[in-house]
Amino acid sequence: MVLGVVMITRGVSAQSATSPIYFPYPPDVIPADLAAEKTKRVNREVSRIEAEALTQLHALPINSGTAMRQVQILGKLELFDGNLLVNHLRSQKRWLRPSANPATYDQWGTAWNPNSLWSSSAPPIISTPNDNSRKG
Amino acid sequence: MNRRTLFRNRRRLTIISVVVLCVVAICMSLVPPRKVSAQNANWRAAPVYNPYPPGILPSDLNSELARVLAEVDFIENRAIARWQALTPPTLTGQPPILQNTGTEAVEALGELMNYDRNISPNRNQACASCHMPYAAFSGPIPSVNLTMIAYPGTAHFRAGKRTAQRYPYAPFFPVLQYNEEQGLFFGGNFWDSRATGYLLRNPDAHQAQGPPVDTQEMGNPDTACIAFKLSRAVYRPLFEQVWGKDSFQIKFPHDTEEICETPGGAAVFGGSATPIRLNAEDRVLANTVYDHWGQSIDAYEQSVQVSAFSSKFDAFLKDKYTLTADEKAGYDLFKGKGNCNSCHLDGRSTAPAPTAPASEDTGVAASANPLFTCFGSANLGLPLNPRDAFFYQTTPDSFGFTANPLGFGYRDLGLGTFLRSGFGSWPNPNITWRQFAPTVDGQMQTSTARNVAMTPPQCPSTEAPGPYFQKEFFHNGYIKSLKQLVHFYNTRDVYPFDVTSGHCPAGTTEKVNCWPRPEVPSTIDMTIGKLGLTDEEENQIVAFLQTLTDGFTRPYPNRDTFTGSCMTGGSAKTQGNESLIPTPPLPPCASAVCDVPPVPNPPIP
Repeated sequence: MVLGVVMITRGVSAQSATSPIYFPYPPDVIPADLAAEKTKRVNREVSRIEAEALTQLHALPINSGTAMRQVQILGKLELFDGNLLVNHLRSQKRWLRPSANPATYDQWGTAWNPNSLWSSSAPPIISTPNDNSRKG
Repeated sequence: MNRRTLFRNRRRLTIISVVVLCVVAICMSLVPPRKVSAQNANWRAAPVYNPYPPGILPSDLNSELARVLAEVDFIENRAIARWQALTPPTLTGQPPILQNTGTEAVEALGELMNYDRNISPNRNQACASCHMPYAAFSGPIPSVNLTMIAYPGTAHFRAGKRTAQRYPYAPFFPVLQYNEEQGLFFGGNFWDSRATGYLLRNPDAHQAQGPPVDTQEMGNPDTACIAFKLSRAVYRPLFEQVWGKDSFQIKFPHDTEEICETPGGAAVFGGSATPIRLNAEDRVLANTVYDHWGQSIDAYEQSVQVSAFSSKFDAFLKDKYTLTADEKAGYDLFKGKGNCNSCHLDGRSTAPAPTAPASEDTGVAASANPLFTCFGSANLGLPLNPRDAFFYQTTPDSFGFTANPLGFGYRDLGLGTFLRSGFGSWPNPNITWRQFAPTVDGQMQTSTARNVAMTPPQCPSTEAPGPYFQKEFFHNGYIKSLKQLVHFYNTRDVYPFDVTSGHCPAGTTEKVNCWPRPEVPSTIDMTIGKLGLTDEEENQIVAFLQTLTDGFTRPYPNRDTFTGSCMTGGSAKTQGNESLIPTPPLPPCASAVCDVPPVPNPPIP
């Protein structure tokens, strides 16, 4: 059974590492500026908002009076968290880089640097609520 | 002694030690902690808590509680049959969905929970005990509605402080929000909106998490008790089907049952909200089960079993029913001269002009399922009701619990007290709202007008001379008929008297031409109080309110379960006045209520 698990795990890893790029689109279906302009810009904006949410979190006193704000910030952090993708943005330089049009996608993902947001010294996103905090 | 002998002796010693430890451990597991055991012995032999003066508790209270409990069991059995006839859903898809009958499964689960008396410590109270279908899921005991207002809890006779709110359409209220432009709060559940829904994002599900651990209601001492009891429920397989088969993989301590049979607030718990000793992982699991408890009950309340949209008015919107002359006149008044739909929104176009008495509604429906509420709150200026059982619970019961040490010094500031995280409410999860407390003191939620008139079929009215089913209206049950309700809106500021209830001057009649002073005078809603309606127009609005009762286009589920008696005689104008009692001299508002910053402004007497 252990061997089976190892084999399955390996199979999944191999799939992630070597899967060919899916690009069924005829020319002009995907806009030419998708990566260079739009996606790169959006990723940068996402990063900025995520960083802003972290700043807000670190500035928030954690007590029952801020419980609603805590959950709002948690939602914001999740909404702007690029790491929730299967191929999270740290490893996306190859993602969607079609051989037919390599120049367009060369810089994919370089704006995203999760390490600038997450450090080992950073406090946890949200403290574990004590038992009473769940009670009205 | 050689090495072999030494080794053999050591081995013997080890085996003996292990055996002794095992015996001790087994003995310890068989003997529950003394404190809780002793408490439970007290529970079984506990004297009835009765701090009430004669006449506060209705004389038929015990028999009526037994009657309702039998009705609850009857509906629970119906729900079990419905569940067992349900084709199991198929879990499939990504995200996983309970295909085909998943909706019905979670609704059936909520129904089973709602009528399950085993959830309460003394196995004598289900959620439905205070919320029966034939009263539109509000208070089912006419004599309680007439007298003590709040319903007794599992520990007899602790009682709450407000009337039981109706379930239907409560699931449609949004998460509590402060609208900065209007300076008003919208959403939440409960009279004081304290079930904000801030975590579950669903105030109704949040609300359902309150009564099971309310000391004066179902009275469990720990939310984990609900997970424990659900793990033993007959419908556990349905819970696991809906929420996952590992839902109850919780290692409950051996004394869990004893703890969960002891009512919350008991001195033995020393103020702990988590007397069940769970490790962190199991506490999270128990919390998750409790979230699913709330969500399942919300599913039931949001279903057509409860929120049916099956009234005459719904048929009228679909051109399948023609309002009678009185109903039509009442509707025009409701959205015109009566100004009712300024809060109880009817979802209709108000063209050509809502305030022109003779105007015709030439508009079309703006919403096909209007909810007759704005989700807001208002202080209507109701007098303090001295019959409210809460005022009398000033001494400890046999468990050492005192519901209201403030006595008549208590004032119900509703939303204002909640924003202050004040006495008798819940902690406010948003400290930025606290500053607004003085602007909302005395405010209570604007309930939907739908089903306000629902009664059991054999008692077809809320109004004397009947035959009628005695209901109670507003948060403190001061009003006893819809006629009085409309008359209060109409004449509150026409017949104001600076007296408390039970002290109207000679020559006047309380609720007819004398309205005692408000309990909270500082923030009164002035959009009502002097509407200029005639007696006939009041009656027409009542006739319209009766068109909002579900069950017209198809039968309302379980409305047929009332086994009590209807009332007859008297007049809707003075209905229940025989139960008025003089308010005792009121002490000043207690500091635990009125001195909590930001203090009410102007001060509340």
